[in-house]
Amino acid sequence: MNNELIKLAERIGKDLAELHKGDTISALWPFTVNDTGFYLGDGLCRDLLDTLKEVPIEKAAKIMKYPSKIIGYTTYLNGCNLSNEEKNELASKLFGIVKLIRKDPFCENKLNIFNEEFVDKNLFDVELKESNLIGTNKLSFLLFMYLELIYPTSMRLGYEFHGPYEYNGNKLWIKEYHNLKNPFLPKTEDFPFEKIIIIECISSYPKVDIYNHLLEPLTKISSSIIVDGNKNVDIKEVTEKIENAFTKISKELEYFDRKDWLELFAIGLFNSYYPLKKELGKEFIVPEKVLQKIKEEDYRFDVSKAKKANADAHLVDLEVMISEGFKKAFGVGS
Amino acid sequence: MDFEDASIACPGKVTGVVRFVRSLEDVSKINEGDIVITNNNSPLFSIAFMKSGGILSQVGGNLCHLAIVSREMNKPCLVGIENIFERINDGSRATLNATEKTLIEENE
Repeated sequence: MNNELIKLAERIGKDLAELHKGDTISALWPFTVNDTGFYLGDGLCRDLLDTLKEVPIEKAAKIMKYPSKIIGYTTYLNGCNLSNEEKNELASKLFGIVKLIRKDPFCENKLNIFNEEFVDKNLFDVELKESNLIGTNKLSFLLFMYLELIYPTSMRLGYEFHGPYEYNGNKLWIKEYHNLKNPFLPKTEDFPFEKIIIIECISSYPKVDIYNHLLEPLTKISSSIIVDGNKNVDIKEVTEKIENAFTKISKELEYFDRKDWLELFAIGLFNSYYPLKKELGKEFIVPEKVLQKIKEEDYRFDVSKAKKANADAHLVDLEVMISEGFKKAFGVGS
Repeated sequence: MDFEDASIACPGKVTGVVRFVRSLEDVSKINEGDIVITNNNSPLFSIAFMKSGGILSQVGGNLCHLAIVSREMNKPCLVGIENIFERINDGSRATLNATEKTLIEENE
């Protein structure tokens, strides 16, 4: 496994270097992953490790389902206070889960295709129409923006794009938007749906990185949607409901300050693996230490400094620096 | 006006009225088809982005969230443009050619 973790660190280094070189960091809102790492990293890694010690990874894979959010958790190993052995154990378990779900767990070929037992073929049996495309494109936009409100900096906690899958002569790209509404998540009570799946018939090949960022636009032929399991829905009606809910929720969040956003994100992050704890009969809770840290400490990652450092560095050097950091985080670095 | 420093988030061409969006108050002033100029990719500005015909952002790169959603909507979009507000006139009518990385104002 250690060799695989080294390879994973190198893959992450490659993908993140591209991201950072492209100045994504200056656009992150309302804070960076480094900021969330400071406040939440320790608490998350400890809680996740304790939970995964009690759930076999085969079961965890079936419960968690979405590999991108699991890869996202590995970021929090950077700078957390777990011992080297514990970091290695957590990284191994998380990547072990991803290997079960993804055919190519490293996304080396820029694809995110699930292993057969994790593919719900019921999603393929939908009525695809070209006339749906304008509606589903707008829906994709709205849902992505909504996820950015409820899971700021880590929207992959609420979406997974995967495929393509061949079905009836079509190439299908599956866009699952999940955990959109949850009694534990503040500000989601007015959102009308829990899960929306957009199925797109495409002619080009999708390219995603290991974090499920779509790297290039797709050529779409037709599309369909499934809303909370229902295939017979009016896309326009669904979009209008979401647009109204989004506008209302946005207004409520206009007065949020930084600490409010941090607390909202903390709840979303710890809730994202709550199904594992529920399996163990445990309650949902954000550790008090985490909430105290948010209340009492004022850490701000220096974005300007990072932006300059990223701009000045060669891509290859950036890649090596990030990879080495992740190797250390996974307990396989020197 | 050429934006050599910009990244093309989504190619394409659109003509419309340029509108600066720097605060939430500015969001309500956007009409359908306006070309939005912004320094903030916050989702709280989403309604402006959705109504816009095209977007130019001071911040971000090709993989920033605004870039990704502009590709979903097939909306011409350039990101990472330094000093953008000094280079363009608010309220002018212009054509954004994101493919060529240009914005031509009608009085140019």
